[in-house]
Amino acid sequence: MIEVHELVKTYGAKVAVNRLSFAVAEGELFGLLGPNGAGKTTTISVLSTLLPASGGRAVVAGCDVARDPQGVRERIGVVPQEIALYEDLSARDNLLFWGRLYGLGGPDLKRRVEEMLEAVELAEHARQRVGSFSGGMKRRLNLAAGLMHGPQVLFLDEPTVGIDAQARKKILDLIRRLNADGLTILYTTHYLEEAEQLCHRIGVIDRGELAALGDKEDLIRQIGDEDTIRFDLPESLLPEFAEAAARWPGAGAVSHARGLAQLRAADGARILPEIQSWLAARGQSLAHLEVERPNLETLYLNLTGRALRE
Amino acid sequence: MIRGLGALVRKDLLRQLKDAKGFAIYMCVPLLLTFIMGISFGGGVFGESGISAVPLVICGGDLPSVLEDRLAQGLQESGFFQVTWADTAEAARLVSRGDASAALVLPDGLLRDFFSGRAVEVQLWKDPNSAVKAGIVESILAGVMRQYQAGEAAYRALWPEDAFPEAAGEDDAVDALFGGEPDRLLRSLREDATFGREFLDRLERGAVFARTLETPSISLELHDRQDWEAAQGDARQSRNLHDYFLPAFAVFFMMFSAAAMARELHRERETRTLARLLTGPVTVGTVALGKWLTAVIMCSLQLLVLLACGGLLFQLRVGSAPVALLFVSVAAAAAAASVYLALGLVVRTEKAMDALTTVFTLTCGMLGGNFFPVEFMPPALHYAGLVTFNYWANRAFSDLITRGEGLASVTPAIVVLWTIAVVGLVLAIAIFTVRQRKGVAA
Ligand SMILES: Nc1ncnc2c1ncn2[C@@H]1O[C@H](COP(=O)(O)OP(=O)(O)OP(=O)(O)O)[C@@H](O)[C@H]1O
Ligand SMILES: [Mg+2]
Repeated sequence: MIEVHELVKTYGAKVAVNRLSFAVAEGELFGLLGPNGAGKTTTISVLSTLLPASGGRAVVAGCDVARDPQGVRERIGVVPQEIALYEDLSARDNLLFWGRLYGLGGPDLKRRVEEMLEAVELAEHARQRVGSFSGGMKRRLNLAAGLMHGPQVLFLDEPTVGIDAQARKKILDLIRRLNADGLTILYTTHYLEEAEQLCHRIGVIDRGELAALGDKEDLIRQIGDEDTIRFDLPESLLPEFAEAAARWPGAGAVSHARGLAQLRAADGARILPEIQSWLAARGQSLAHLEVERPNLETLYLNLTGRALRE
Repeated sequence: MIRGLGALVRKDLLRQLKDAKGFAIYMCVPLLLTFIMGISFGGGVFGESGISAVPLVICGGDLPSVLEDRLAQGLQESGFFQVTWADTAEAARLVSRGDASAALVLPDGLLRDFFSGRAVEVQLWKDPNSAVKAGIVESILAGVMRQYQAGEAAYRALWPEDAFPEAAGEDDAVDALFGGEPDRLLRSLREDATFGREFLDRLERGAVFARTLETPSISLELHDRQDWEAAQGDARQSRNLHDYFLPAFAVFFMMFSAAAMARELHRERETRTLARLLTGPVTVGTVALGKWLTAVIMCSLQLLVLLACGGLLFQLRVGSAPVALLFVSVAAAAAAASVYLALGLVVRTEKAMDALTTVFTLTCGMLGGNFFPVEFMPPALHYAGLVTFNYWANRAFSDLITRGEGLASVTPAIVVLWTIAVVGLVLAIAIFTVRQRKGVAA
């Protein structure tokens, strides 16, 4: 449903998206995961024909975004990162408008509006001005507005930013339901656990480039199936430790951070006794030991080199 | 029908109606300003009191009481003055206190001096705080003076040999007549045959002259509103200032409304709804057209409601050509909507647009005659006014309301306004489309 080939988007000298390629199959829930400024919104803007691409090609729902933007617009729904609603109108009037814009009318439109209000649990607030809504209510209505016309492909740009856990769960449940009904979804987020829980496949994007792509297992495999071991070690002993570790079977890269030595190893449990005896020979004991199984968090940190906001 | 246009216009109209406060301001301010102009200059429901009742005090000198009565009656009947008589000291007091706008001071021996050829000086004392009203007295008085001077000049041209005696006191007979010595005059007439013939001759010519003054071939006639309306048919001039000010203010504030509605495009950019619209099935052309149509509907309504209020409150004659009035209102709204839409798209932000449209509106308002009639301006600026769209709207409204003309005479203005509307709209859509291609529309 979505094919992206070597997509480039520049703002003047700034390269926001650099040779991005991925594909999303029909009915798939695809996550685009990346930190602030990674280029997620820019990618969605190009795919939804709001911005012209600077290079590369993209096809959405069978229509080329550059050659047939109108065809793309007919078939997609976009839920923008920022709330894009008419605050001076009621929730119902907002939905009525977005429905009419796509040519809905009459009883069909009315039914659809009630359906969407139910789906996002805003039926009781239908007549209320959107300006008086809480952040979570606005988020939900923002989502409903993008669904009014029953699109084939849905672009969701960080739809859960800035709302509490309960509201977030409601939105995620709704997204799962929509996807279960066959809707193809491109979901961007900077929350790792959201992508992990929700998406079939994840593309990790950083500084406009695709850093990794695949389902959860694929991604973990990409960083190798190595454990990470951390323990107290004075920095002065690090070179000697690295030398010793290089001779141990299954041991990998050695590094040092905040007073802790870090060792990657294929099997952490097997290498621990070696470390212990090496330390004992130098009058040190094994303290502050951590052994970490490989997970997306480490992958993400390794790929983007940046800690997440939350 | 262009796809999505109906939905866009419906939404924008709904939003405009929800923002009733903004609309009310644009409706009330022009009415209020016209009302202020009204109580300053009079007319309409404020009665004819404004201009027509200038308090005027007259110091009669030693005018015979018959003439005094005639003068007072004449001035009162003109409907412009409220006349009182006083001596010079009292007159000075009234004028300096502002109780009278002006004092007309006739010198002692006025008639005698006049008929014996001595220079006569009539003084007008004006209250400086009542410049307008005192000015009215002055201009009327000056008119009357000119009339007499012309009459006198004509008399002298016709009968040069009959010039009034040059020096004072030489003509004993005149002195006798006006000096309360009729006996001496009669004696001269009886005793001196030549004098008698000449005197009768002069009286006869004087009578001709007097008749001419009584029924002058050129005269200043002052009408008040009722006279004028009664004689309407071919009358072409109105003294009712509302006829000018209300349409001028209505157009001016309609310009502000059009600017406010064009500004909505920037608002929608800032609230991100514009970006959302542009990922939908509508083109930028449709979005622009939607804003334009909304503005045309709201601005036409504003003009029509304001003019209707003017009809009710200020007795504006808006009913004589209702279809023409409707056409002019819609054409003016269409031109304004296009001009401001294009203007709004030239700049990138709402702030920049605010600055630009304020300067633009004030300049056009000035040049196009929304503050005062363009005829008051020097010719060069008068012509500059022709290029503003509001000039054509003002002109069409004044043709319809002040001059009582019909659709035929405002058709050229309607054509000009629609030309501006179409060119402006096409330009706006072109700019918007280019913006979208560059990815900076939203
Ligand atoms: N209109 C613009 N002009 C110039 N640079 C821009 C523009 N929009 C975005 N950028 C830059 O492009 C890069 C990608 O921005 P983008 O908004 O796509 O990131 P994002 O992944 O959506 O981030 P976030 O999680 O904060 O929403 C950023 O460095 C941003 O500063
Ligand atoms: Mg973003």
